[in-house]
Amino acid sequence: MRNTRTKVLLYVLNIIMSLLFIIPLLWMVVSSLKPENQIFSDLSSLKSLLPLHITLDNYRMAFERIPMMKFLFNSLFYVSVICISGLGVNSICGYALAKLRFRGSEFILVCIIALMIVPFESILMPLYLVINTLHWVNTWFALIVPFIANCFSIFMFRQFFMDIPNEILESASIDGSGPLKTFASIVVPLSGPVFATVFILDFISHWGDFMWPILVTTGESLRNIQLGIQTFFTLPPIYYGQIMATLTFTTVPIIVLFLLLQKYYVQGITSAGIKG
Amino acid sequence: MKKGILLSLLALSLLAGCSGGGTQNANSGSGGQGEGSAVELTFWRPQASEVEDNVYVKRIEEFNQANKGKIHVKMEVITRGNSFAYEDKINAAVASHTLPDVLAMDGPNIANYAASEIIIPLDEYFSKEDLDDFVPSILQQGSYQGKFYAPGLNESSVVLFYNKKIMAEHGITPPDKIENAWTWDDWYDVMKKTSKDGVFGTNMINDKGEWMTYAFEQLWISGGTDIVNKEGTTAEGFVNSPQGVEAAGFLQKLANEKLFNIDPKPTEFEEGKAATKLGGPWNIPGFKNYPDLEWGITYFPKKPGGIQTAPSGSWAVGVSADSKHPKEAAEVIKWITNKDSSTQLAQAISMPASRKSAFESLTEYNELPLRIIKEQVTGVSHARPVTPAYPVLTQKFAEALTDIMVGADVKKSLDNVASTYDEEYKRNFAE
Amino acid sequence: MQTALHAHEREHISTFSRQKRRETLVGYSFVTPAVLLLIFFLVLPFLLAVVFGFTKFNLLRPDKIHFTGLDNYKLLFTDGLFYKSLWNTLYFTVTVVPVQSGVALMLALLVNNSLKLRNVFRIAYFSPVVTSMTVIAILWISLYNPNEGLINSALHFFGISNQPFLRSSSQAMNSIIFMSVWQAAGYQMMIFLAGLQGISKDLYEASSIDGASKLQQLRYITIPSLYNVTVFVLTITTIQAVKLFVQPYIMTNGGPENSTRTLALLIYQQGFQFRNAGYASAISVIFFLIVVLISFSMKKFLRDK
Repeated sequence: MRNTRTKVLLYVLNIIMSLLFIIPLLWMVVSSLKPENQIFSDLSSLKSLLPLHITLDNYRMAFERIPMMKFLFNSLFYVSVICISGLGVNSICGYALAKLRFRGSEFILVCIIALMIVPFESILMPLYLVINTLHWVNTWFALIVPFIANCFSIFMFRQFFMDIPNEILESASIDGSGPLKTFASIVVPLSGPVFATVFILDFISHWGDFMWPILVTTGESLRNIQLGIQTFFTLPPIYYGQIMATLTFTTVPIIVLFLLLQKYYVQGITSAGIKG
Repeated sequence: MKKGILLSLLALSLLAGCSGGGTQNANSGSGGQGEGSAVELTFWRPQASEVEDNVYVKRIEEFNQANKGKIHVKMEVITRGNSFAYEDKINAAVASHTLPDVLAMDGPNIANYAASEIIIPLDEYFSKEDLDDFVPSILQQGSYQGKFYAPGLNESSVVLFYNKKIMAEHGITPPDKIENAWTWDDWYDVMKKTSKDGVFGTNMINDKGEWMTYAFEQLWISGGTDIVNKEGTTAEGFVNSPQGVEAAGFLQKLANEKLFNIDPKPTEFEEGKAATKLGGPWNIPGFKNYPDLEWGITYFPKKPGGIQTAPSGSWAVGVSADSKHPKEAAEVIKWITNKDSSTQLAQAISMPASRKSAFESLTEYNELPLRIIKEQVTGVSHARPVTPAYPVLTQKFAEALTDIMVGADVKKSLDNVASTYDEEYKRNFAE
Repeated sequence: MQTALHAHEREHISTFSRQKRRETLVGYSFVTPAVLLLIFFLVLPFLLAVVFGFTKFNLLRPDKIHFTGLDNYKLLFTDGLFYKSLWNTLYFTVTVVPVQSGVALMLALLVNNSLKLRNVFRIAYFSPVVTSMTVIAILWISLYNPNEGLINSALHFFGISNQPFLRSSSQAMNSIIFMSVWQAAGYQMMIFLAGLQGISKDLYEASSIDGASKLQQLRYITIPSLYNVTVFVLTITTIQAVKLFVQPYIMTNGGPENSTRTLALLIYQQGFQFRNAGYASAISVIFFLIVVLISFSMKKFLRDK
């Protein structure tokens, strides 16, 4: 009985809060399905969230205007490479900082936290000079390599690995597993939620890349989806319907990714791991 | 030790950049074009509307045809959006000496680039008759310290759009002769009459950045002053002159009386929620989405007893100082800004041409409503200030005007623009 | 802590030193890939920026770069706008960090359960993070509209007169704070959620057999178990807050009267728009030092339990 009451309460709270949060996303999707001249005339009334005259014109025109699939593929490609290689490099570094004792580990940790503070705006130009020296301008390397190692991810991995009981690791090492094997066979399976969270947060931050790709790419071959979206802002008249269509289209992969990763958010993995 | 490494890296990157100018061209040649000894040139321009982009593509193709075996231009379209992304990319290319041979730039940046010697003067490549064919504001924005650097293909202008139905309701007939153009007082009366029931007297905030300088500097000019002196060396006594304070005070009065919306929807005028609108020819294509809207054009309002003027300015093309082939690059500039290019662009988009001769074949500009735009462009327009410290000026001026519109002290805000600009100029450009 | 470790070591001196050497070696090899990448693509550019801070460096005149010693710093410490931006940044950070983290934790608790629709709710809370700032800015600027916004209509209903919100130097920063909490809380929610998943179910089961209420479980199991995660959330929320850029850039461009100008905005404006790369770098360096100082004074929180 008490359980049902809690459940109802949770549902009510969640529904009210969700509405407050999801309106912009809803507005974007609904607007993308409306004729251009209704998007703003409906704004600030309930009609803005109701697609009364559904049309796919905005999508059609947006797809005619830019090579959407190509830009989307470009984004998916380089962001995935950053995130996947980032998971490897950063998790193992975070593990060493959390669980291995060695001279300088504290210093490295402090440096990593400090480096998170550096605003990207202040290293943009120097980083460009470095990339230019390496002759990486207009290559995938420029978009990918500088961003694989990520202080934020390392720190996050480190904080979560701290919570893994030492006994599990010690028992593995008594069994004769090398450190890499311990990491791969014990730590990684225990840490699904962290890997999923780091992946999605890293993915989102690079999915929005704009300034850096402008500097290091010229021409369409490496252009990402954010640069594609800018096409619609270039000159008035600005067709917001097409913008909303493009934005909706580029938000879909993130939502799909989010849903796919939900299966890693299963409570009690740690406890199951300990028992096993 | 570390510092040594750093400095050598910096030196290295700058050096690599120097040679980069050469490799850039080699790279973009993409080899084996079968054009033998043709000079390969690169051309950067920001992405514009689709029709505008197509005109450039067509004209560059024709240029390459006409100069087969001699010059071959490769055009790169750079994303610009509504930010300064294109300028940031130019900054990065300058720092690494990887600028293209030919580059497009926004009008007010010309002085900045010329003063920094990243573009070269083109006087020797243009005949006097050829230059005289450009409308005066193009020459004004393209010149720095007596030399001509960069012509544009088209011009722009700001006019006052009005909603015909609302005007008819109040028995108002907007002027269609330049000598009868509305003064600020006339415009104020119109706004006062029409502003009610969720309708604003005017819509005049396109954005709170460059638009502010582009549109409202003219209020200073109409009052017989400007926001900096003619040489661009000081703003003190100009932006904050008594006429300047009066101009800004006028804007503040409109804001205080809520005659315009400080955060308007982009389609406020189109939906009939604003009686008038300060806007440009670029707005016209969007009007057709609103079949209920009946619109007309009248002149940019002037100060009572003041000078008739209107904003102007356009993107222009210049030759970079990194180019190994300035002569050929200048050929590209001449081609892309000649009468044919200017006419074709004006026909494709709704912006006025930059050449007087181009208007001959653009007969629609002889009739209302476009006649108003032609009269402003060829007769009374003024370019934005020609100064190397323009980026600072326009930012600070726009910030001050926005502050004034939401109630900041007029004189104090303008004084602040003057002192910030003067300090910046002294620090960076006073030789 | 260090001495305790030494005492511990002496007991197993022979096996321990071998094991320790091995652990050191493994440790270094594990951190090397990340550290090398960071050195090349973060430390090196930042050191370059530090060097630029001692030069006069106009982005458009790279060949005329020259050392000017401490000139940029002298200028900086007499620049009223720098102090104003510093104050704004600190005010934003101090206000937003506790509120946003609290909201995030609350949201995480709301969706850390077996409700059928929990994934829908999770997406809802997370959606402002993934929705383009363009969309969010249009909606919030219209909500905050001083003449006709929805919030003002609501205030009218309660007999309160129109408020200027973003267009007033006294309300703009608070308006941005409110919107930022709403926009970014989903981000921290995800991290808390990941942390909540790591808490053993056994603990809850055991305590509910002992008759603990949900609130007691929250107080005695959930919160303490989230210690390391909370340290992480507070740290990164603080760091993201001191770097506040996008919201004021899009919504107010630092105005009115610089009331929403943050240090990151100042760095961008000086470095890119005004092209004073040297001066902008000097601001970055001072900014960095200030935040590092603050972090160190907060360091006791970072000491792990």
